[in-house]
Amino acid sequence: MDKARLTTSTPVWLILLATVCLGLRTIVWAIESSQRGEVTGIKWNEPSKIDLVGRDYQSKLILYYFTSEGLESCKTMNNTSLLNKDIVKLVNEEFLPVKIENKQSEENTDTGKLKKELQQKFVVFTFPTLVVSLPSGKEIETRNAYAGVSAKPLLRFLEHCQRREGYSRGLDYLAHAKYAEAARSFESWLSTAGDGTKDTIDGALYCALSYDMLGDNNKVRVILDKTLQNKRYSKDRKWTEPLAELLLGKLDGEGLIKECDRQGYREPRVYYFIGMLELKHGNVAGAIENLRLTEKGTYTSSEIYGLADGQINVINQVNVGKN
Amino acid sequence: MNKAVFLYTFLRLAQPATIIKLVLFVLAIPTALVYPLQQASPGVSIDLEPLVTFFASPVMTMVVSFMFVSSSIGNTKSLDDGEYLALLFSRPLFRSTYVFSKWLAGSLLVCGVIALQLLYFIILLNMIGRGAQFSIGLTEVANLILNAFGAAALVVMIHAFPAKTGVILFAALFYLSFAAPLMLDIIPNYISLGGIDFRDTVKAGCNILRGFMYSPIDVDVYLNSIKVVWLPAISFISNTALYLCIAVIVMDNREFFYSN
Amino acid sequence: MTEAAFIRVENLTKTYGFRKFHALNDVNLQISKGEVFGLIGPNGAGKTTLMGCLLGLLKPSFGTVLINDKSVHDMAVKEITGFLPERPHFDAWMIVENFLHYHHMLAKQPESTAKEDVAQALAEVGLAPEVGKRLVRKLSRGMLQRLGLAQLIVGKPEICFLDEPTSGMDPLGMALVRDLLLRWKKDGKTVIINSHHLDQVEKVCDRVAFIQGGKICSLEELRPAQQTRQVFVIHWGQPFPADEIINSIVQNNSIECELMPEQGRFFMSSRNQGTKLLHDLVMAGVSIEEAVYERKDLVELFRNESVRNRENPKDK
Repeated sequence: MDKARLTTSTPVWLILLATVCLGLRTIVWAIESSQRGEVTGIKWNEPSKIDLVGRDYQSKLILYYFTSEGLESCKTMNNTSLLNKDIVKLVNEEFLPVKIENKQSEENTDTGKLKKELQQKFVVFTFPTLVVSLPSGKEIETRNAYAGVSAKPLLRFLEHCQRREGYSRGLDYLAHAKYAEAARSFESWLSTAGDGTKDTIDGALYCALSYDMLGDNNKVRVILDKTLQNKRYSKDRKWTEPLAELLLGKLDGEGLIKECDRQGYREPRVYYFIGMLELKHGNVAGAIENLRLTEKGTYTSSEIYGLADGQINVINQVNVGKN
Repeated sequence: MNKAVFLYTFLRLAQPATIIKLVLFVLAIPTALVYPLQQASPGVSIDLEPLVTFFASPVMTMVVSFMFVSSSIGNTKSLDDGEYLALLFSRPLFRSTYVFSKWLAGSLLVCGVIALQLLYFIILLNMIGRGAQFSIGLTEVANLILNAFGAAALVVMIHAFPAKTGVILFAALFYLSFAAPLMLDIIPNYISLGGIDFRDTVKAGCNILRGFMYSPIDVDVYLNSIKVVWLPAISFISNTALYLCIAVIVMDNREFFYSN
Repeated sequence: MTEAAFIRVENLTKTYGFRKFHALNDVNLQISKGEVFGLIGPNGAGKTTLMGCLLGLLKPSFGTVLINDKSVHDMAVKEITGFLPERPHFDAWMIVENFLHYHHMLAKQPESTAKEDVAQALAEVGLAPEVGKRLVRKLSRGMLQRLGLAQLIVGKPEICFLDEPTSGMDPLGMALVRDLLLRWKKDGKTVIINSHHLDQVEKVCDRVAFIQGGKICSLEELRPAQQTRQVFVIHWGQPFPADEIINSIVQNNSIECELMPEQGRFFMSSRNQGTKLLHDLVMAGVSIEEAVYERKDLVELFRNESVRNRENPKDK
């Protein structure tokens, strides 16, 4: 008699495959759990073992990795994206990686208190969280609850932080009256920026201000242009009170603007600083010369470019049109 | 694989209401993504990689699986709500073959829908002059295909159960996996039995369950990792095999009182 | 019953739920190959459950069901099985031709004959070719029933399970079903039919099982084989003949009889004997009002069994 081929029989190989995989999964999970999420590759530092407070301003950006023992999402990240070779290389070479692992056993210890302080400082309320900060402790960027398997978003996050490094360092230097370092940071940042963000405008102005504070140049031309087509900016409250405007106001109030060729456009409260700004040299109490106001106009799209040290760093040609 | 079941799963998608929904879906998301790009200056370079990754992401495959492919795989009710699987299984058809055919067809449908979206996205990018900035790597394609198979297996399993049992079961497990741990964080931890933290124990259990709900895979992890990482791949394969296994076992043991 | 029963049901029991409702209770049945077998019984008797078990759609709680000595789930059995469900729950979104093509493929029929088989099936069930282009959801109840028959036909089965095949059909449709069944019977197909239309069952079935309360209460032969005894009932006309005349004719024909004043019941092994008997009676000058072979009256059977089971529930 033919062997029965029953239409309701479950293939044995499928049951075996599921069982074997489940068994393997249990074993691998048990092994990885017992390793307590040890991450190889990235050379993590313990916060208690390094000096996070008195770091040199020139030193690397700090990457804080807030994690919690036993959390599946943290383990996933440890075993996937944090093992990506590009990320390992980038973090080890360009950052100071610090791992803050939340452990119950350290609850009342000095280490535990230090970790808690860092969590509070960076407002970390979920794990895993990545925080990139300057050596001074000023936060650049935070990524909360990232637990993806893919490394690409994490890589993009780190590269974004690197791109912003110049701007963030510049501000930090300015705050600490390190004008030379500030100017250089803004300059290097401006040379790679040019994505038309608010920071570019501010960065250029800060660069100019830094140089002026140094008294190295008597003229700093800052020419900024922005397309009028982007209504998004006009709706953003921040843009209605750009830092540029505040700075200009302040500089103007202090009598520091020598020449300002500025043009606003349709919405009177919104100014994209367009024009040439000449500041007095020497010190902040300079004079304003040749203040020139041109009529309103429309502009075709163009690039932001910064100007420092009397050099024009043109990325694109500026096309200026009128209504 | 059964050719009839496979082919007719595709045909099931080609219904007017589903096609309209599908077209709107395929058009809507790329359009929504491209619109802000249009506003940016042409000279400004924009990183399109996150958008490409988004189309090939596990989230997209799950959304497409449940929104569109689910009806092709699982809808076995006639207009008067009568189950027509009874008639199907009176035919010389292995129930496991039925499950595998549905799974295969469903996976290809998911890939097809997302591929259509990507194609439309490329067309739009070219129209706004950003076509050159688009690139899709082999890892994204591999991720799309693998995650489509995983998502389709989950949908097949849910629909193997009779009536709405599968949907209710899945919803309950989904709640336990994702929502319950969050709620446990809100509730103060009063219960501790013999030193064992009740809340953390339950949360750990929920986390384990979450691992069984859906385990996506990223091929990039295996191509660019500094060490071999086994668990995500094994989780993905075991989950997919488990879903299909459960689907086949449920189908094999399912009864059809066809008078209803 | 012969030893080589094609369909064999032994001690079949099907229970549901915690309270163990017995939908089928120790059913034993044997059906020969080529037989047209009817299942009759009141609503909720277990006919659909029995058919479900025969098709492998329901799992017996106890007992066995074998078709050609194989499990009902065996692929070899499924390949020769066709099924018409009681209610036409079909893929409403399909076009009729596609639906039949789908079932043609499912029944593992060769692709090359698909178009021809589909057209032939539509013709056999009395559906016009243009109906083939319509959506299934657009068909009327009667047309759906015909479509159900068509999907059975495209599979070219050897065993046909029909649950209420004439449900929703007009008289022409009923006649069509009857003709189909008689044709299948001639072709040697085994047919199991579940129907409330007793006159239809009477006309086509060889045997009939009366089911009530999950048990087979009686099994009747409607088409006795040539070898078994047939009863010829003759109603006398006026004047009634004398018993001596009848007895001498009966002796000459070597048959047994039961004589009553108004009629006689004659037991014979073949219908040829009946013809000869009639001839002899007429030649003897006997006045005959009516001569008919005794048949099982299913309606009567149905009524009697229902009453009997109601009065003696322990018999169940």
